[in-house]
Amino acid sequence: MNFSYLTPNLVTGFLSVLLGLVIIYLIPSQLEQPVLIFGQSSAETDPELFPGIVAVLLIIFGFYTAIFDRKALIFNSWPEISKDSIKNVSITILCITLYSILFEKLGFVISSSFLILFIGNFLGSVRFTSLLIIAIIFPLSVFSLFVSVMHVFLPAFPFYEIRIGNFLLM
Amino acid sequence: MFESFLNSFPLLFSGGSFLSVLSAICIGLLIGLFVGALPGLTTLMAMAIVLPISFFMEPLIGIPFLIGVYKGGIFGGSIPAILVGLPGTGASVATTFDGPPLTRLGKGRKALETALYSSVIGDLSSDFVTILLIGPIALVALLIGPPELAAILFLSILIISSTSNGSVGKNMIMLAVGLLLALIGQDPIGALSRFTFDIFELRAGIPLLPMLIGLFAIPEILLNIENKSKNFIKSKLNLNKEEKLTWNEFKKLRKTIFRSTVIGTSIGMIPGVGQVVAAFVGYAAAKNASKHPERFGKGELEGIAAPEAANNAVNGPTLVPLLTLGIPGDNITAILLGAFVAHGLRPGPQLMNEQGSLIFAIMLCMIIANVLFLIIGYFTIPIFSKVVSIKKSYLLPLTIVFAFAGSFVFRHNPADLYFLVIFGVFGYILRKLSFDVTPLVMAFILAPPLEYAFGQTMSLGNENVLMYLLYEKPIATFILCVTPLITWKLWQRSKKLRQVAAETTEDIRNNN
Repeated sequence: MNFSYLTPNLVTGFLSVLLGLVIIYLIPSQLEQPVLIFGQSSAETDPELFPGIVAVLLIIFGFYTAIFDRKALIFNSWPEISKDSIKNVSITILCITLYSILFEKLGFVISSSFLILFIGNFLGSVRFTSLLIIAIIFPLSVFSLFVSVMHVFLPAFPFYEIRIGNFLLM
Repeated sequence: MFESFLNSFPLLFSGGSFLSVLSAICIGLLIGLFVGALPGLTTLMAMAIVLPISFFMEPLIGIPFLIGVYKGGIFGGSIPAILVGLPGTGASVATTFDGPPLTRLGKGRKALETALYSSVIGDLSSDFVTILLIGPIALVALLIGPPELAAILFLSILIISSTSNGSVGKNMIMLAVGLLLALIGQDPIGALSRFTFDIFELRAGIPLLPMLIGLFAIPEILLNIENKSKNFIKSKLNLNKEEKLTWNEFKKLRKTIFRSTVIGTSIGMIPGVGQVVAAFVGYAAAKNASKHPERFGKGELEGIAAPEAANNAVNGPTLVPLLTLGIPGDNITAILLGAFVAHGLRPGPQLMNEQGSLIFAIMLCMIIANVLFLIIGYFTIPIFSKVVSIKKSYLLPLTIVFAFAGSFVFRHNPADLYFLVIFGVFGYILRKLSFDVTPLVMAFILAPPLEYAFGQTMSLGNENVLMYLLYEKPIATFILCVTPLITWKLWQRSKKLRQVAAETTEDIRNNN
């Protein structure tokens, strides 16, 4: 089947119209209603007004793009992207997603060290020893900058404190 | 207003804070130069990543720090553009026409010094214009009420969307998506929750900082990771052995620098057009005015001076609508707006009235930043020319770590990291599909004040807004009436300017 008439702008336009319709559908259920005082709304303006305007704008602009700008997409670089690039980007997105999950659980320093080691190795051609040194020193430096210099919180380690005998290390 | 200006001097120079301000600007300039010098990493990304650091400083230190990053980054982008023909930032694309030929002729150092002096002169002149303009505009801005503000915000969003890159339809969709994202959380009038889907993390709305870092920094990183080569480029240069720019050579560039400064300052006043277009228009104007246009593209110093003065002259004027009306003119000023808001300063008519001295002190910092920029730039050119050959494998993971740490520290909320990833991936897809995110960011930032002013206007209008606007608010009515005309004119103008940019590129390609 030939889908050449389905230009990216046409699809974008339809998605925009669809999104506008979804917003209109969601407005009654997703907007908290103002308190009624003696049977009258306490809000001076209708809370549905602004979301309604946004939904209508999405529909109007969607139709405009689908009809008038249908063939205007000249610089779409999506088809040019190679399989290797998609693989590289997908792996990186997976890594940063995992990093965002482990950030609090493992703490900033350990999770960041893992991320630097993995992505550094993945990008390739680096000496492992120097990468390892960077993976240890950089997160500790950023941690010190934020915690000691700027006095803000970053999850340090998965354990609250390290004690050896009577000595409190952190 | 003049009193505020005078009070800004003791505010800036008294006490021990001045040294801290100077240090912050210097560090900002060095960070900007470093990131700008790396091909593929932009000033915008650098600003988005270091933005959270500025939150934990005094406003008079944090905002000049960001200004330092901005100024350093724009010039830093010219270093790889001149040395290896890879623009470090979009603003330095026009510099790649004459930069590499000059480097091949052994005049790399001369070209970099030309870029430095032109950048400083262009930037400094536009800063003075900004200081002169900001006072009178702020006085006029003080007279406006909610209806006028709503009309101006509406006009601004439309202008930014129509003058952004790409197709108008897609820009308008981005605008509507930005407004839609701003709806999530609480409405600014009655604090009623909306579109939260009972998700606790959405109750306070989408946080601005992870959104900015996600849309501006993560896509840059992903674009660089697409191609897994270990270095940004392979190049070894030694600029210490090359000749410096002579006074006679500089004298010949004065007219070009002046012309480009005027062009850049004028373009800076049009929201959404920005540095890239200014650089191309400056280059085209210099070529047209030259007695030897055939030399352009083959190693002409004027070909460096023109785009560099023009793109830096944009910096000052874009701050005028931000500081007087709270309207950011481009992505960089959107980030600066984030910094102001985080410091409890909401740019707009009242800010100039209440914190005029602070704003003028920040303006003075911009001038100081230019002087420091000249000194630091001159002495660090050979060092930053080596940055272009740094390994990707070391730098990109460190950038990711910094982006995540920065997103987390502001609210200490792990959900912000998820927002960062979501907006990062979303921004990457948008980039690939040639969507400009500027209208989205602008609409997201301006939607709450617009909705608030709109709501107030509706209340003041007492169910008959049309009559209220017509009879009691003629200025707001006038702005609303001329909005389509202004938007149309500026759209045509930006289209024409972009056409000049495209033709200049085509011309240079054909000549080479």
